[in-house]
Amino acid sequence: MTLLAVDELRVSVRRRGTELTVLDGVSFAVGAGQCLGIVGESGCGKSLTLRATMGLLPPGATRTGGDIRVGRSGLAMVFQDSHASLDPTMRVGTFLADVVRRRRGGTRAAARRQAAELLAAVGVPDPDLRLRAYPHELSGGTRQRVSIALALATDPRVLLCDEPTTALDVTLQAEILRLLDTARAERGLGVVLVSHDVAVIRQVADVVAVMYAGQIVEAGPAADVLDRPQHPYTRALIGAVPSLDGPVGPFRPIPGAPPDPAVYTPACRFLPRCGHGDAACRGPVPGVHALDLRHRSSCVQHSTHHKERT
Amino acid sequence: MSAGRLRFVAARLVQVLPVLTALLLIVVLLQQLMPGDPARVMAGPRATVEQVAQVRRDLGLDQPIFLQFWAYLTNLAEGDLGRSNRTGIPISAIVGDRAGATLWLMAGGLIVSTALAAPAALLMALRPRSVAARICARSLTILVNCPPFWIGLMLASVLALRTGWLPVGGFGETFGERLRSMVLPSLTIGLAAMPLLARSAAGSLRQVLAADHVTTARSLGITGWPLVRRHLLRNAMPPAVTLLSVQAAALLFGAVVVEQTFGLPGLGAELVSAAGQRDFPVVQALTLIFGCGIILINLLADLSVALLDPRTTWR
Repeated sequence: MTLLAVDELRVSVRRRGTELTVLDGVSFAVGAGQCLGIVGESGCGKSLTLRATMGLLPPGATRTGGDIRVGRSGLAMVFQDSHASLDPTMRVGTFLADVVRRRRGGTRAAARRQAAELLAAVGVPDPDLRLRAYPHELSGGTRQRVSIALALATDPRVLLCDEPTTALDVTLQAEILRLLDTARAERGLGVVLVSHDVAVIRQVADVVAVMYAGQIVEAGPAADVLDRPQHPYTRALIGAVPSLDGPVGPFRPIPGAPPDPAVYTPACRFLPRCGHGDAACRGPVPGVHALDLRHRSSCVQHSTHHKERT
Repeated sequence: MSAGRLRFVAARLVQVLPVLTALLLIVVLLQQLMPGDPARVMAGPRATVEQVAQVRRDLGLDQPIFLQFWAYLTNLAEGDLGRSNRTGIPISAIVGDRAGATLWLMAGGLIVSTALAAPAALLMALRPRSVAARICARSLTILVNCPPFWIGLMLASVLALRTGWLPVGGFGETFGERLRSMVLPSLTIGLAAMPLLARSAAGSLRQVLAADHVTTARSLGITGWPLVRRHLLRNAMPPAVTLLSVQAAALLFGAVVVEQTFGLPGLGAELVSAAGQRDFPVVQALTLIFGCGIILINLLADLSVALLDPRTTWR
């Protein structure tokens, strides 16, 4: 069952008087109990995609096209920096009980009790004590758990997670990812998880969409995309992650930098950094969506590469 | 209250001591710094050199400065602010007589400026593109360039002289009369203080509005007035309170002008006439009182900021 479908999303940003289209033709869908991972390097538009889906674009950015269908379900979002994303002047319990009461009604005492239950559910030890704490008095991991509890308090069907573990160390990262996974399994949540970290995506995503320069360039089931990548960008992104069990070799960063939105074209935007391009790449490349489970890539060279490799 | 906040409160209270000492020193030194010889003023224009020397000895002005300082302190500890040069009336009696009008004026100015600045700031921050917000911003630009005494005169001529609704000056006897007589002076002070306050509050509201935690609150479905009340105001308040305390100092000195404009028998008006007539003890005492007032206002502001922001700690 599809809980959220985003179709041909387009977002523009005003910069020095000109409208720049920074997101173009982004389409994806999430079903119940499914986790879509969106991966890409900084500035490719992953976070903006989530913000636009949530209807919380930063000032200066506007949705100029596309369709967002959210069944009867609600959306909730977990942000990257739990330090900045919690109100510093409010006790955690006050905030949480507020959100519970807005959503479910009932008495203050009941909301307070439910807030404690939510905290316990996301693995915060001693919830009654933590309810009285201010965000700055909590550790980074606990704060992120509180953020997740806040999001869950609205009884969402789909959880949008914007780099939820980037500010945490690896141990906490694994715990938070496991927590999201449990929430997904127990509540049948749809999850959209955005990360620049291929390892994180590999850990939790069923479906992966790779974004580059404001577009999805490859999408499909996680195993297919991550183990048999078709697009040279995906391959480079995976190749840039040093392997722990493979032979120790030099880092293989992707040469160059992503293009500025001012010079976005219908041609392949990865071409300047790609070693395999030819004239065909200068023409319009096909759009890729993540609306179903077929493995797709926007690379027009893909079939030839595929031959080379096999 | 958390340990960090308690430490802040304690440290802030201790900090008052050196400031207070410096203020007292300046007040005692004021005699030396001000033009004119207090002994000569007191003795009168026809006094002989011997008479002036006698007065100087009586006043203790021939003593070393630290002894004068000590004498002033011990008198102060007994609640003795000295006597007026001109009338011989104890200064504590003068202050008791005159403080009322100034306190009324400060309170009135504070109420008016807050009551005007708060909605203006909310309007400019939340609906920056609306016509009302633009008109508001323009009016503030004009208002900030109007000197208080001019505002006072304009208000008096429009609201009092033309219509006769309000008294143009004086301080009345009954509570009702006082309330009426305070309307124009309070408006004057309030209007003079309000533009800066409104702008700064709008600025800090805009800053909080763009903060991540407000985005979080919105993502949780908190919008409109609950968002403003629960998440915006308390976060935007500390800078506004701090500015208000800085402005209170300006207000206090603005009161000097406004009291003159409206013929209010306040401390400011008394300071002006005392300074004009070289009444040194009165000038000294009033400077001390104004200084203490400013120290107190700043202390209260810092303490309320500590109360508003749970992260406050002494660094």
